[in-house]
Amino acid sequence: MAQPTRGPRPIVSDSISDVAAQSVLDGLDAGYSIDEIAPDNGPKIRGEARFNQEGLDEVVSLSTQGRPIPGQSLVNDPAQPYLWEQPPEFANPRDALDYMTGLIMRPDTMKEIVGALANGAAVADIAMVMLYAKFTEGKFNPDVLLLLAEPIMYVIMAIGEEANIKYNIEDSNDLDEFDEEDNEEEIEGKLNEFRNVFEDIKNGTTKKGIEPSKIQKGVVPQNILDKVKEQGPEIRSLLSKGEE
Amino acid sequence: MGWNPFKKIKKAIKKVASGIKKVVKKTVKGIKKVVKKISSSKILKALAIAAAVVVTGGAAVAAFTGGAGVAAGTAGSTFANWMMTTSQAVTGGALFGTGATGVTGALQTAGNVAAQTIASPFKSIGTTAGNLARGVTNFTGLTDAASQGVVQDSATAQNILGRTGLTPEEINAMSSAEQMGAAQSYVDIKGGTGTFTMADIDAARATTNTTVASVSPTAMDTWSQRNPNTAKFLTNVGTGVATSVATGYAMQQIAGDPEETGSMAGLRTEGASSFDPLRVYAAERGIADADISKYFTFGNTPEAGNMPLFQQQTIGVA
Repeated sequence: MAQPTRGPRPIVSDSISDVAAQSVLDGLDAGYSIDEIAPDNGPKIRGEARFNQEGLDEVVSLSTQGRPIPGQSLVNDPAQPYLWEQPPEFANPRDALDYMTGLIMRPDTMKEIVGALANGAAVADIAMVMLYAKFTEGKFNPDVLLLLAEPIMYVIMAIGEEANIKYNIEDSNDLDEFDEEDNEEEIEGKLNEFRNVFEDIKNGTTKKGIEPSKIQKGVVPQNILDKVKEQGPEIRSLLSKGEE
Repeated sequence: MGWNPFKKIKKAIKKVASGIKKVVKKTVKGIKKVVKKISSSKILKALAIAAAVVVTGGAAVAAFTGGAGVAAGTAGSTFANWMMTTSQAVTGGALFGTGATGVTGALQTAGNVAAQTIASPFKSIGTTAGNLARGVTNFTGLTDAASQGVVQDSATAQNILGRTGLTPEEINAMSSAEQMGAAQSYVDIKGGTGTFTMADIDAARATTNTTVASVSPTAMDTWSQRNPNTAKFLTNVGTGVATSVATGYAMQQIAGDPEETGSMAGLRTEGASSFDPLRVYAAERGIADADISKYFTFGNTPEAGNMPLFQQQTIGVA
């Protein structure tokens, strides 16, 4: 384990993503390796939905249950408003965030979240279900709900990471996008490397003054030498991109 | 079809979710530009851990990347522990100054308690919510064990404090509750290793006194006996209780006798009131409490939680 060369720099931002990114960069700069910041816990379990007849029946049953008659809420007694129609319990987003993280960090909640992530539930969906449920319980108003979305999603993602699950952020297998981008970058990097080497060879050949007229007869067929003389620098590499 | 607020909220939620995914992708790309040859999945994991530590005010430090067990700033210290080491100023509760007496003193105390709660980083919330985080340290096994603090009695507390470098006289000078609070803080904050100074003890003592003053009085027992289900619910909501405890303490500092019959001693059941620590805090800082959502910021410094979200340029009128 590395000894950090200095303490962390003070970071304040309105975006949790920004704070996290700055903290990671600061940690790397202070001497931590990425493996120390995010240790490898072995192969990940892919979060995937598995077919379950019982679950499907439950969803069908829920979706067929009665809904309120249009205008039903207008005939409610104003003296008995719904919880979300009353002043929220947490007006301060910081208090609301502490409340939500307290709920999430409970072992029983954590167990459910890990199970849901492993079964393919998206981080965004889990976060929003939890926040929406608390909104309907009158814990906070919709503005605070939206402010809490990002930090709560990050906490759930951290739980998924610690549980070694390849979770979904919003859609199915969307973390694969990161892998695909990595692969694309790798291929691009190799191609650039090849292009550079090829360019070096080409430049080196010109500098050395190797010209078609100086090439020993018989080594290269005459018609190719003529073509080289004729077209010169227009000749494209065999590996270059063809005309579209 | 009339206006449906729920539909609007759900639509907004959907937008936020997809927006956040874009932000995550952008952040991963941003880091990759600075630090080459690191896979995106590694960066994503690092980001998630760093964010979780900030969001939970350090309470989750023991739960992520094996944060517990090694003192911050020492060899072998984990990244999560290291991240917390800028938070000493705020956790010392000195934002509002100290030493004043009378009403000003009470406001200072209340303000400091509020600052420790609102600014969230790392110590005051960490010592209380840390107990919750500890229960989930073993994620892969998902054990429910150790969901409570490790320091359950004064003998254990003395044993733990014996490893801190404090002298026996210093340890014995503390009350039993203070010893337990200090030992628990030592485990939560420093991971149970390394030195623990008297300044740390003073901060821990303040937290312990807060908890003890709010939880111990008979009035709360009576209230709990009268409302067992509500009390159980409030106990189970974790960090909510931590916040309420601090609120109760602030109220008692302002309103008077904590032994008064009927005092709820930290179990806040009513909504926002003029004693809301946020309002005390806002008043001290010259912030309009109605604008509080503008001050919802994150970070690892005392400023986190009281910096405006945006500062729009205004047009000067001659």
